[in-house]
Amino acid sequence: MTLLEAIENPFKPKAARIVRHYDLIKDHRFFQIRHIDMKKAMSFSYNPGQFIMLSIPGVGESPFSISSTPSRPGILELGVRRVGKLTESLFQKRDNDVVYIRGPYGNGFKLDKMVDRDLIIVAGGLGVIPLRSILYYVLDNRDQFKRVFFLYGARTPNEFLFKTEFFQLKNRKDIECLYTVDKSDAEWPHATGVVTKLFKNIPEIDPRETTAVVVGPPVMYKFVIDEFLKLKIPKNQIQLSLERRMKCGIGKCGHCAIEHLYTCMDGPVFTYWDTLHFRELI
Amino acid sequence: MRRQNHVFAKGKVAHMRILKMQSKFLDVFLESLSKFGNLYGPTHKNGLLSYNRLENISDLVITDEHPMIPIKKLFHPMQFTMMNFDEKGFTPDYSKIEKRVIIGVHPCEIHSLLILDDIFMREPMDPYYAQLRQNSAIIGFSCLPTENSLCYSTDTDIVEEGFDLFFVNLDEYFLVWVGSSLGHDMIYEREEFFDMDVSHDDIQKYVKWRQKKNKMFKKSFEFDSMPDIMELSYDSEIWEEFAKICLSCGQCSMVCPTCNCYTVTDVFDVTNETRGRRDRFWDSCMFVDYSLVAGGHNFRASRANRLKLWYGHKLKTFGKDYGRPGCVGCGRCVDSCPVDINVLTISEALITKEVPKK
Amino acid sequence: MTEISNTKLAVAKPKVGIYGFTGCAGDQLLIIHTEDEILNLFNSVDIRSFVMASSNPIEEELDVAFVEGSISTEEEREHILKIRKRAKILVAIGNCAVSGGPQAMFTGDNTFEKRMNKVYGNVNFLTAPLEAKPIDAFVEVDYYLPGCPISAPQAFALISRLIHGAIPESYPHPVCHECKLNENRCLLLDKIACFGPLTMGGCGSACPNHGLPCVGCWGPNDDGNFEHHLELLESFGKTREEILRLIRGYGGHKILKYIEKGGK
Repeated sequence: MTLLEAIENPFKPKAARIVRHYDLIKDHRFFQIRHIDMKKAMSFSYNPGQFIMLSIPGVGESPFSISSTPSRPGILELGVRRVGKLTESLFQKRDNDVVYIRGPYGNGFKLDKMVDRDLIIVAGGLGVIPLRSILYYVLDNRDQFKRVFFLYGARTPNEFLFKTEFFQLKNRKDIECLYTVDKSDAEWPHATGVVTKLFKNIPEIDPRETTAVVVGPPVMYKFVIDEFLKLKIPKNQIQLSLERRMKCGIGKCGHCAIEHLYTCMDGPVFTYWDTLHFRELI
Repeated sequence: MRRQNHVFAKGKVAHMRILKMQSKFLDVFLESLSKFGNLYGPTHKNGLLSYNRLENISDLVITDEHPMIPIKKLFHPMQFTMMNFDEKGFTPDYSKIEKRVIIGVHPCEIHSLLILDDIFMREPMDPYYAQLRQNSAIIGFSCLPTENSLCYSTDTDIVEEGFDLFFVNLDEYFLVWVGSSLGHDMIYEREEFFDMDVSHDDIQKYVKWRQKKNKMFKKSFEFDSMPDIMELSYDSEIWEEFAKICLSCGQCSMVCPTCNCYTVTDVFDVTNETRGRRDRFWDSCMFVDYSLVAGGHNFRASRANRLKLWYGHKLKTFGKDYGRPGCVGCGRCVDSCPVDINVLTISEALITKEVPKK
Repeated sequence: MTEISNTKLAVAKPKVGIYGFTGCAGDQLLIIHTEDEILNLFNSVDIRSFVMASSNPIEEELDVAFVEGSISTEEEREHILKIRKRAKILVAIGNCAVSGGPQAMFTGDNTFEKRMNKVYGNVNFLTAPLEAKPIDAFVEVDYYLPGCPISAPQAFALISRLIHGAIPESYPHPVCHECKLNENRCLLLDKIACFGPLTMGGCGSACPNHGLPCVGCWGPNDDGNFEHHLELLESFGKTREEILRLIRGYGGHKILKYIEKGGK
């Protein structure tokens, strides 16, 4: 059996420590975690848009989008909504507690389609969690990209994630940040209305030289994609990331299948062109 | 209505030995294979055929019928512990892995394993499936079509790879194909049973057997055109008609030799919150929670969408881009569905626009 | 560097109560009869009340209350209300608690008084009898563990999650799932009126394993195709009335509700 024990088992998660956590908004918590094995922590490389499988022994395992950027190695950041068995247990964990992770999985955003182009990033609600990864990646490698527009819509000011960070970003001259909430209150300093309303603030672009990225709740995709199409952005230059049930993350368990594709291997990032062929995608 | 060509054949084995063995030697020879691992094969269990460990070679049942639960159960076990966990983390459990010789495997079953290989052996490999596969010898046996055999339509009635030995039953003797180096070792072990000289008479007998077999199929379907038909009928109301009668019992997934889906669950030890195990067991896309994500959104709540995914995998494409469809024509869905939803009724309905009545 | 320690504050053992109302007490008995597991359970929790196993109940605040049996007297009704107030988590165990059991077979059929009178005549009772109903007819139930009796592996999977502060996992699959894994031939193929597809699994397909049809005792599988299943059974030559009577027989009361709603 020694030979068997030597096999790298892709299902075996590795121990990681919660370095720091704080609440983003009610029932949404930010976690910084790091592999306990320091070598693993420093060598863990990933692409924006990829995800990890996180385990709490005895409770289960679920996929989580990585919210940090690979340009800042060592620490992985997750934004987690308290919504099921696993997240309920995760919310009981404190700093320095141990969780188990494996990955990274999935294809991630297609960076080669973004370099030397204008970039429009549109986030709705929790979709901002994986998009934060590409956002910081772009800002850390700012000279590789042309103009960058970041549009983010939440339902209310109280549901706006990463408020401090994103409000500060507004001061930067090299990125245009546009924020909105469906229902505002007296203190909300930005726009009111659905995220598609922000498109009117985007100046003229050359659609062939633009890549668009959108992540949000399933209902949002159609409306945002319509705006991209109005801007004449080619369908294969619109990237979106999808959520599915997953049990393995590596194309074995079948749960995330969409026709013959597996969201965990062939996605979670697809182009709008892909979704026209795979009608179940969105 | 045979598939036109071997588009999907994975490359023939160039120099395969074919030998002859008198039928009277069969049991003694098969028994001798226990030297290469524990013997497994179809046995009678509660009146049904079932793949199991053979305590005695006399328990082995070689017939034209297939066991109700396909061979996948020996490689992708119905339920097993993947890992144990304690305060030090997760430790894989490989206790199911042993050297095995699996006897009496029909061609469609061998084809199903080659298809499952595409899923489980694709990188990163599933170490459980891969180890079970690498430690198992496959002793194939020919069969004649039964009531619902469809393998002539799916071109899976013969195999050219995926076995160590393959026995074709020509009554008083067998023709034996040697498909691997291990298979050759097995023959070498009891050389005296095998006749190296295959005569023209034998060849003629074999050709006649093939012809007889080909004429015995009672049922067939338009397998070749199904990928296009599936694509064209994605929005067909036929799916709703089948959805009305589907019981979502999941039996089709359990009996289909190329259904690979599984789910995973953790179980704590009662005494200790740091100890327990992570189990995996067969699942079905026919069950309502299959595509349900935390937060309550169900990507495939309707029965029609569940049926489309299942039949898409069987009749359109499965596993990878331009991969072949998953159906190997074993006929188990025809045997098993209590409301007659199967590859025959689905393909017929999509072509004729009529849901077949019982 | 690789030393791993889960720094958890030492928590007091969870306080657990196990109660029985109207029923055969078979579920409590099953817990007691699990030998090794019951000893482990006694080690890892603080059992405050378990009259069947120990005669000194302490009736105070509880983390988890397991309740067996249906409510069929006024005294029981008052008791379950009190338990609910004291328990953070209340689990209904066994069919009588989950769906009423055989004693609730005719609930809602004619008037209770009439039936009562027919069976017992004019008698004075020690405590006022009520029409037998499941626990959730009186108090909110957090988790259901059906079964007649409950299955030990399921019971301990649930218990261990609860006492370790994790949410139990639901099992929303029909009996057919386990039935096929047990390699049984589908009884529907032989035109036998089996309720497997309508019934929540977890029992390990106990009846079909012996060639007997599922009688629906674990209650409804929410996703069941109630409408077509009834049509299928009718095509076997059963009248709708016969089918409904079969379902009623073993606490399939909640299945009937789905059928009345016209299926799904």
